[in-house]
Amino acid sequence: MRLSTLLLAGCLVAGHALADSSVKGHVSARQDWLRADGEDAGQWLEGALEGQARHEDWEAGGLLLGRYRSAYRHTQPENAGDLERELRAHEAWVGWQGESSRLRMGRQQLTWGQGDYFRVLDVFNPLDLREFLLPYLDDFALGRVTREMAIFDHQGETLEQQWVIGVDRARTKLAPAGTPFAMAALPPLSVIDNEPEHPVDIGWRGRFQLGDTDLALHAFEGWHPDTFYQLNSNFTLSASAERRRLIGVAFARPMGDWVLRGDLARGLREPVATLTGPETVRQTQALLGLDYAVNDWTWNLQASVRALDDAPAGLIGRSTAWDGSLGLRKEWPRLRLGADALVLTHQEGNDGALWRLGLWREVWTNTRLRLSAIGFDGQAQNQYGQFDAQDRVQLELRHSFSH
Amino acid sequence: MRRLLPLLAGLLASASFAASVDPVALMQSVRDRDLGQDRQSEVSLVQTLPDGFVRKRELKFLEKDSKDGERHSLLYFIAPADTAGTGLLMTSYSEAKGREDDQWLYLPALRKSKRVATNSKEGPFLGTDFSFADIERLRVADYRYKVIGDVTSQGRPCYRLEANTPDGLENPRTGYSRLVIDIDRERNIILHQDFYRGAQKIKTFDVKKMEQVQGFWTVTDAVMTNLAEGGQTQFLTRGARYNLGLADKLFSQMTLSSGLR
Repeated sequence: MRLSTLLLAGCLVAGHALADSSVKGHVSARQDWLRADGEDAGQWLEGALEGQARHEDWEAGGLLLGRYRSAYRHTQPENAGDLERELRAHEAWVGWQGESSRLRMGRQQLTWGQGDYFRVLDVFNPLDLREFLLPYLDDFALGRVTREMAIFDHQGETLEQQWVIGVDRARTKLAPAGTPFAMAALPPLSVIDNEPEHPVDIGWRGRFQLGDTDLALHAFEGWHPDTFYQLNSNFTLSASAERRRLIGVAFARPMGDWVLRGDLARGLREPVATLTGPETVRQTQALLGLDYAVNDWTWNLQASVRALDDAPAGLIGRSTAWDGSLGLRKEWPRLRLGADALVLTHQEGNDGALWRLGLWREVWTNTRLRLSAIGFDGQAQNQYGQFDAQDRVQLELRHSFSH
Repeated sequence: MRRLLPLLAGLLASASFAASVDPVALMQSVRDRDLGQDRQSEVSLVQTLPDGFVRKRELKFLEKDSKDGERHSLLYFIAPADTAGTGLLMTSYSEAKGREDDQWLYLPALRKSKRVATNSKEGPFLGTDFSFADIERLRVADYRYKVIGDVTSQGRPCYRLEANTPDGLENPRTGYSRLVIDIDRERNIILHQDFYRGAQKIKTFDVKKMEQVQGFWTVTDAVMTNLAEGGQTQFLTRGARYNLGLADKLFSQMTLSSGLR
């Protein structure tokens, strides 16, 4: 166990002794069965403890996360990493908050844009995809790779501004070869790492209201979270980090019982993978979403498109890609019952989809039993279709606590 | 005949009383009751389901009125645990402006705030027996009013009003077609209310306890009983404080994302 993790655990307990503090968390146990043959796909245990403490204008917060995944018990040690057992300080920050300004520094996460699942403007924290999106469909904050950042917010009369500096490189975490959610395109070869020594990300956001419409302008200069691979002539892989620059705008506007929202990003410097290595292009990405929430019904509908200005020779993938999502949720609070459905689709010359159906009941106070069915469909080259063998049924018991 | 005389006298008194009180002005006095410039409290919503299951929700609540009639509110959820850390920022506008509320919901699982549509108010507030319409700022123009009597409710002298929609149908925003309202004559507080959908009485609201805090009458215990589906929700307020000098900038998305305070 890392010293920082122990320190955070101690701070969470000590901080709670202060008058102005809050603590919450959960413990969860889950059993997975693969749908094809009913094979036991293992147990999954998770515990999270999150706290904040304040003293006058000073504040500190953290999130301690621990997991055990039995499915990785027999994975080769060099491949498994900490997939079987992990305990880490997912967030640990200190800050100061005045009447109209706030500064937070430390390991944290930040969300930009109006999109859910599709990250048009959400550029600071990459995702932990070692089990693809499955652990994070309900708690996306646990799926982001947190990083050292300084975030300064200032609330003006009409404009709320945010300046961000990320001082370490945060990379998308992918499943190692030989594990259930390993990317099909990633060969199990040794990798020569060509990472930058002092990577820095810088961002600015200005948020304001125009009539009934929320508007936010964004600017980012830094590094792409994905590692780009190049197969060398001696059958080794070179990994490199590539620079990224984008500007964008996000909006949200209520319309009766609906909310229309969207993101638009212009990538002025965007790396893409080609057969001869990463190339820099310009691209435009747009997302439009609709939310409806009335009488315990919630509907979410999203469509997103990414288009390159010019497709470089040897481009891996297509110059235009579409994503879509449909989410439905219905709760019956008097019966302590709820149900949801989610479909994510990706189209890039080939089609693929992830779908999930869920049903839950509050069996005791703060304790929920959930049954989910998850399926992947599509061609093997598609980001969802490649996991077609991982269709599964999950039964999860989760107890939450707060104080 | 001697028995009928007091009843007749009472009816005549009610009739003359009904003619002397302007029901719309009465409802406006309830809506515009002095609650100070700003206020803070902790709220518990204790819901008892028909099967006996008890669900408790706890909130921290901040509110401030501005000079142009806007009311800014911040709600932070402390319990139940699966919604702890969620925040709601609201701006409601004066009834004369005819503008729907602005609302943003901060979701800790996403680490971001989302704009929320506020057109329909008939849905349950946090799954309880209170609807969003029940807890929002009173809108007098939703109904037409008539004073129907002078009653004692919760041991206090009250005016009894009947409120009906102009067309007799359910109000599309609140879901109620008729209300019977008992208003404390001195304190301008609703002490009892019956809610109807068509001919069916579906809910009743009763104030159980009031306290004077810094000179402001504060409802500290009230119950909404669900007659249509069974069960009830108790609304408890504690730690109320008024005129704290809360800054306007406190009611911002920046504060909303700061979590519990």
